[in-house]
This record gives sequence, structure tokens and C-alpha cells, in this order.
Amino acid sequence: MADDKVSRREFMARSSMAASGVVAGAAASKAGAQEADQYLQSDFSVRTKALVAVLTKKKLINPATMDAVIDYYENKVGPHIGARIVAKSWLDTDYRQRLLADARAVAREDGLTGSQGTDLVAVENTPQVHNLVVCTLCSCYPWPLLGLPPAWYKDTPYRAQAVIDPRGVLKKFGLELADDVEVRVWDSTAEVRYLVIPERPAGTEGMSEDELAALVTRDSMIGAEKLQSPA
Amino acid sequence: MNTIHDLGGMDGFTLAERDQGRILKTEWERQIWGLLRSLRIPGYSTGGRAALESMPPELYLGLPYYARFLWRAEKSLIEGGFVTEEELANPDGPVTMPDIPNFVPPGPEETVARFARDSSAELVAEVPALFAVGDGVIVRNEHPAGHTRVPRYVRGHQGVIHRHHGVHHFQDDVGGQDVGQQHLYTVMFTGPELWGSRAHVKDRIYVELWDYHLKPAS
Repeated sequence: MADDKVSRREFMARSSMAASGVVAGAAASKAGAQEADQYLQSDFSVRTKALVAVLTKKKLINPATMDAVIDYYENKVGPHIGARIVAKSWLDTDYRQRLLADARAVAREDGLTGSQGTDLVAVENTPQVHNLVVCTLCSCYPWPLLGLPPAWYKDTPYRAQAVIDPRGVLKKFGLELADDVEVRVWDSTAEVRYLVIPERPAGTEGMSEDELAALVTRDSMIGAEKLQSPA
Repeated sequence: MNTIHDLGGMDGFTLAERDQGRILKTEWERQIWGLLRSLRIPGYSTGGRAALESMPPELYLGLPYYARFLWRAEKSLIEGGFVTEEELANPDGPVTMPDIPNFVPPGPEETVARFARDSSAELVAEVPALFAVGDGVIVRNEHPAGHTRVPRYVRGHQGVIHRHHGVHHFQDDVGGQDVGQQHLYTVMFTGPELWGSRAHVKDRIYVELWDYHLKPAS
């Protein structure tokens, strides 16, 4: 076990050296590595329970509020909301045009302007243009429309590679784009949040808004996949 | 600050398969998220993105996503004097009750209603815009020690103003200078401009930048 710890620490230190400008002197680095190692060994479940227990005892938090918050992010907001917007945009050209011109105004009409989503921009995929959204600096994402971001979106590999090799990333995700397709990567690291309007799949003519919305996946609204025709 | 959080363009990571299903996968992740979005103690700040960015790089890379928030919550609550390390180490033991007059932690309805409130960051302010859509710009090559919204991979590079977002609070920490309210733009960069011959000629990368970050290209 001790060997494992050492090798992982060394590995972590080496990984961080790969980032230019990160090295802040050997001493600081060693102290950081020790702090990191200690924290990485800890049980996050135990730590979380302790923090919640102490804050509750001190009346700094209301546990019922925490339950409501979890319910809100797990059940109230989510990709079903974005999917409805996409489906509507496929059926209503006027709505689609307004969405592309000023998504924030449309979101306001629909009451979808809560935290992390108000300054919204919608971009559309076409046979010639593919859009992909990332946040290289943290994990910015349009919560009111898509809920919380999936792990792959927040993880380091996607954040590191989406801007330098978007086609490679998409290929690993199972989507190979033709050479003449323009790829637009939106690094939403500041104030604006993005919604990708995927292409409407063939074979969906005559479908209702509800039926269409059911076809729209979360990842298609980030640009990580194309939608398949219904079987 | 030039820390590990600024990941754009870095090689060596292995892309995992896209996960589906629940976002908050474990009970502690649900609890830490519930806690984070419920905390509204007067005088308390998590330290925001700058606090996450100040994390030792070994820790940043090693911790699961939600454990970074746990780390930040513990650190900021201890530093703010709201809890002590001893209390957290012994949660069944005695605690010192905080002295915050008239504070009652917000209830469920009030908290959830706040999430749905319009959160636009655009400001109504009479500030002249330095650039217009279509203008060529170069990103100032600055490496501030504090928080910045400029990823390293665009610094010094040339782009074009693609979209204008009006006036927003400037979010960078530029050493106490008051640069206040500024126009925000989406700037388009070509793949080859940022990544040289490795990039596909039809790749375009879009980044949001403020007036302060930009200078005219000509």
C-alpha cells in the first residue's frame, strides 16, 4: 500500500508538471503533494456527513432546504426542458429564428432564466456546421435548460482536448465528421451559456412536439452526438 | 492564475466514455451539492472559482469533481470562522454556537425560488464599447496572479469579434485595480491560429472576453 501511495503521488506531481507555469518551487510542490495525498486518502462520505452535522447543529443550515435543493437539481431541471425547446424550434421556424437571434429573450418568455442560464446563446447544427460546447476553466453549463452537467463534461480529459482536437474527441464519442464540416467549439468560461440545437433526424416527419422532444438527448444539446432516426 | 484548472489544449489525458444516468451518483455527492446550494450565511463566501483554482494541482487532478467543492466548503467555512477543524474532526462533540444576530437559515421554498429568479449578468450601464462585431482583435498577453477568465491558450492570439453581449461585471482579479463594468464579447479564433498545423483548418474556437483583455489587431 505504501508503495502505491508513493507512486501515485509521484504520478500526480508529474502530471501537474506537464502544465506549463504550474510549478511553484520544489518546496511548495512537496507540501502541496503531501496535503493532496492526505486529502485524497480521506473518506468523502464521512467528511460530508461531518460537515453537514456540524452546520446543522450550529443552525447554519436547514436540512429540509438541502433536500429541496437536491430534489430541484435531480427532478425539476434537466435535459427534458432543453429538449422541448429543440423540438419546438424544429416545428416553428419563427421560434427557431428568434431563438438563434436572441435565445435569452426566448428563455425569458419561457421562464427559463434561473441560475447559470440567463445569458443564453443557441447555436444550430447543420450538415455543414457542427457545434460543441465546453468549459475549459471550470464546468459552466446551462442549468435551467439541461440540469447539472454530466461527469464527462466536467472531467479533465474533455476540458483539455475539446478545444485542440474537437474532431478527435467527437470521433472517440462515436461521431466522425467529414473534412468539409466546420467545427465550432464554444468555450463557455465566462458569462454566456450555450444550447446546441441538433439536426432534426430523418424519419420524424409528422411527429408531434412531444414525440420529437422525446428523441432529443442531453449530449446532442452539448454537441457530443448526432440524433439518430427513430427505429 | 496559471494553475491546473486552465486545461484547454493539454495532452495526456484519456477521454472516458460518456456516462449516462444520474448526475449526482453517490449520497455524499448529493449531500455536498445540496449543502453548497443551500448555504446563505451572512458574511460567508465560498471564495468562488478563485478558491478552486488555488487548490494544489495534485489535489485538483486527483479529487472527484464534487470533492473539490467539499474541500472548498471546509476551507472557506474554517477560514471564515464558521466552523473549526476540531468540530469537523469530532462532529458528535460540542460546538460553539455562532453569534450571527437574527440569522435563520433560508427554508426550502425561499431557496428554490431563488434558483428560478432571472440571473442575467448583463448590466445597464453607460460604458462605451471598444469593439464592434467583425473587428480584428489580439488578446493581451497577461498572466495575472489572481483569477482570470482568459484561458492561457488564447493569450497573444488574434481573433475576430463574433458577438457583443453588452456590459457585464469584469470578473478578473487584476491586483486591486478597479476596472469595473465592461463590454463582453464572444471572440472567434481559427484552429490554426491557436494550435498551428495540428489544427484542422475548419475548426473555430469561440471564447468570451472583455474589453480589458483585448487590443485592436491592426
